[in-house]
Amino acid sequence: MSQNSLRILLVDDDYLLAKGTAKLIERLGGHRVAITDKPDEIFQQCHSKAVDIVLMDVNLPEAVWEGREVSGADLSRIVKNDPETANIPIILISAYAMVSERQKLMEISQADDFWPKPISDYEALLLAIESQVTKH
Amino acid sequence: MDRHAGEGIQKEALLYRMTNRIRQSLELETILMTTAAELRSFLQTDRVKVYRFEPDGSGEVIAESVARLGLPNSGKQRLPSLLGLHFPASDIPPHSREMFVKARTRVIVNISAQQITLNNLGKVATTGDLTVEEVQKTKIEDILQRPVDPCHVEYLTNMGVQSSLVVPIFHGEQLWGLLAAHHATPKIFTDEDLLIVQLLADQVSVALGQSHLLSEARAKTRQETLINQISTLLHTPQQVGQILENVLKTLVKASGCSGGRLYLHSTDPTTATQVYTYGDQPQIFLWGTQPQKSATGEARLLEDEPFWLHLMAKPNHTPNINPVGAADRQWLPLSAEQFSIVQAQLSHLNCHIVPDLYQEPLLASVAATFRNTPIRSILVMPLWYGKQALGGLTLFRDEIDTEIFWAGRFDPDDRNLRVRQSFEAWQELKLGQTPQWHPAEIELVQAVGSHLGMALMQNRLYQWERENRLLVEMRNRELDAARNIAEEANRLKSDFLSSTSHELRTPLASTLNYLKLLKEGFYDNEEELKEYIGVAYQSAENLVAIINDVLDIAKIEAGRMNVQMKLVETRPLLEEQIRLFSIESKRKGIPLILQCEAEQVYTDQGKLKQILTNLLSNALKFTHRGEIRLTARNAAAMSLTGDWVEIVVADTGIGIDTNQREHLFEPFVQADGSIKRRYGGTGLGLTICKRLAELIGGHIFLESEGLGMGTKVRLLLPQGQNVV
Repeated sequence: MSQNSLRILLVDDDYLLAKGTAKLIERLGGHRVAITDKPDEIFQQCHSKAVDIVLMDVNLPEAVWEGREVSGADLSRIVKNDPETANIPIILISAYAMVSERQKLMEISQADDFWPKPISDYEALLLAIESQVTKH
Repeated sequence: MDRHAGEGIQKEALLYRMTNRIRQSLELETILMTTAAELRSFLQTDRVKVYRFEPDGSGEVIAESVARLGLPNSGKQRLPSLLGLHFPASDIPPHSREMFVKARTRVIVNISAQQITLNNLGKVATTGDLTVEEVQKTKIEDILQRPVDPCHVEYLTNMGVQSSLVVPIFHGEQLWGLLAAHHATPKIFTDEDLLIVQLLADQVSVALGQSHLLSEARAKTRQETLINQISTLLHTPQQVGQILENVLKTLVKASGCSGGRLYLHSTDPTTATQVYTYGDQPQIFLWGTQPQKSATGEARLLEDEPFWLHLMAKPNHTPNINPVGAADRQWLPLSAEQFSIVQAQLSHLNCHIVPDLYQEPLLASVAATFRNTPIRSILVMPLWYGKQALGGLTLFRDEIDTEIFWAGRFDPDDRNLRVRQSFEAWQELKLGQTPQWHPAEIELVQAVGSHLGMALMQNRLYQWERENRLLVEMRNRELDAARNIAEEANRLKSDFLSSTSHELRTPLASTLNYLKLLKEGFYDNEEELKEYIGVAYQSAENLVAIINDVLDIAKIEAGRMNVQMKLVETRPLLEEQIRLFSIESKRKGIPLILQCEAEQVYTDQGKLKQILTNLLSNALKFTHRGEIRLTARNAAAMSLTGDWVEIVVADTGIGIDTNQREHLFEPFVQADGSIKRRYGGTGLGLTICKRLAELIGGHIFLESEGLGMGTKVRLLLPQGQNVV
């Protein structure tokens, strides 16, 4: 159990929603989930190697980085473009679930996978999380 | 031999000197005066004159040299000056003129004692007895050797001439005039003299030819200058109307006319052609003297008369002899025969000339309108481009007064019976003569006309091309605009769909999450259980609210929202709204103040309530201290006509960033993205308010001095005073 236990960073600005998601992942998959919606915290966590995978929401109305409003897709790209954090897998989880939006978001974010909100099949998500971590 | 050679040289030198003097000028008048002077000085005669024939056979002395007695300036002459005097055609009748043509040589008469130098004594007939045909048939030797007509003897005697030498002057093959030397006493002319005179006459012929060429060249230059001037005018950057007016003015002046009209057919074949306007209607430009309106005062164009209609007819257009409204008018329709005459003249000349409009039966219907004008003659030139009839140019020429100085009185009916006894000059004044149109003038009008035709066509094509281009551009712009609107609508729809999808998925995700936690039994205690149920329930409610709002918007956009407009008492409606929010108001400690000054409003009661509920709910949500005022009053709105009721919801809340204000009516937009989370709501409230307000004939405005400065929403609704 502890061998397979992953350190997951869940980025979401809707705290109640994120709390539910985190609880389900922890209880169903046995992983540890940290919740944040602050860009500096995300980068710090990634740099400290305390994160195995990031689950990233896209709509983050309060997120500002270097004076600019940023979305989850922007934050994902920043993580991916930093050689020190580039190998951390990122899965986008967004309510912007339409195909065209999805393609555009994947392009911008350079993320590894995309899951639409709401998540109806947590078991499948957990398999995807584990396979991404194994891949990297 | 030597003597002959010497004489030859002397003769040549003399001829050379004389021709040299003649050639010093290209001006005909100077040439002829010089010729007369040189010849008189050579022959030592009393008078040498140059006589020019007119087309009618009469003639005029146009150059002369007269010897004076004694001192050159004494003024006394052996023979009187005839310069400028006209002689009737009968003085040198056709057979005499024909004789000059045939003989092409001198006619010598020595009147003194009936002595004739060259004559055939065996011949009895004199020139006076011969007809033109007889002269043509008679052998030249017989003509040269004949007795002088006794009449001519008397004629010369009466003129005071005793001897005479006459040589014809030719212009090409045509008898142009005579070179005549008269002497008051008998004088013998030697063969030498005759030869010199003949050679001199030949020189005059050459000079005539040159002078003719010169005047032709001059006329041509004048014509080219005028055409250049006109084509420059045609291409000046002015209004077409202004240009055509100037061209007409220039042409009328240059062609020696007193007035002119330029008539352009309508470019639109369906338009009647008797209207005087611009644009697609026929156009008319006038300059100078014009005919007057008819006695009945009809404003009828000349160009609507059959005469003009026929001349300017479009090829496929059968001239309408009875145009609109002309049923009661007296018309003189052209017969087929008359029409073919007109057409024949057309094809021959390209322009039609009526020398005397009062003599032209086809113009009888309009002659009266010319009565009070000096106009006598008309030239009509139809304007064509290829086979396209463009209209017509009409020029007017006034009648003229002529004055002729005749040499002695003569009786036209009695011409050959009595020889004139006196050659005393008298002036004949002829008033109201028909003006002449010289071929050069007609040519000029034709040249200008064809240029005008080309320029008009060019202009029409240009206009047509420009109109088409504008039309295409306009259509393109319309299409662009329509496409932009469609694209914008499409974008808005897809944005709305995307936003709606997002906004529905978020509460749904929460609901599902907590239901799954409950289902899996992932709660540690009763409190956590209650919390999970509460969040799931709240999320589901939120979802329903959004769905209801989205459905409302969809209903409004689909036009399926029923509106029932009527006059509504304002105060009770507003009081009910205040009551609705009184509990929340007390809970938050924010007083709701009502101030109602408007009695009634024309609206849909349900829709107005929905709007006000939305606005008051927003105001309470975004206000943490201060107060909320709900006011209503009658107002006239700036930039909106009519009488309005202004309902204002003003709060002292967080206010709106000026940059955000315009977007707040868009779906799912809140002044700050974070606010939505903190304050809840569907994000569709203001969108629905705006749509509803428009639906009930109102307007909604959002005002805020900025963040922290409170918000004021103004709703303008019709008073409905005129509604029963």
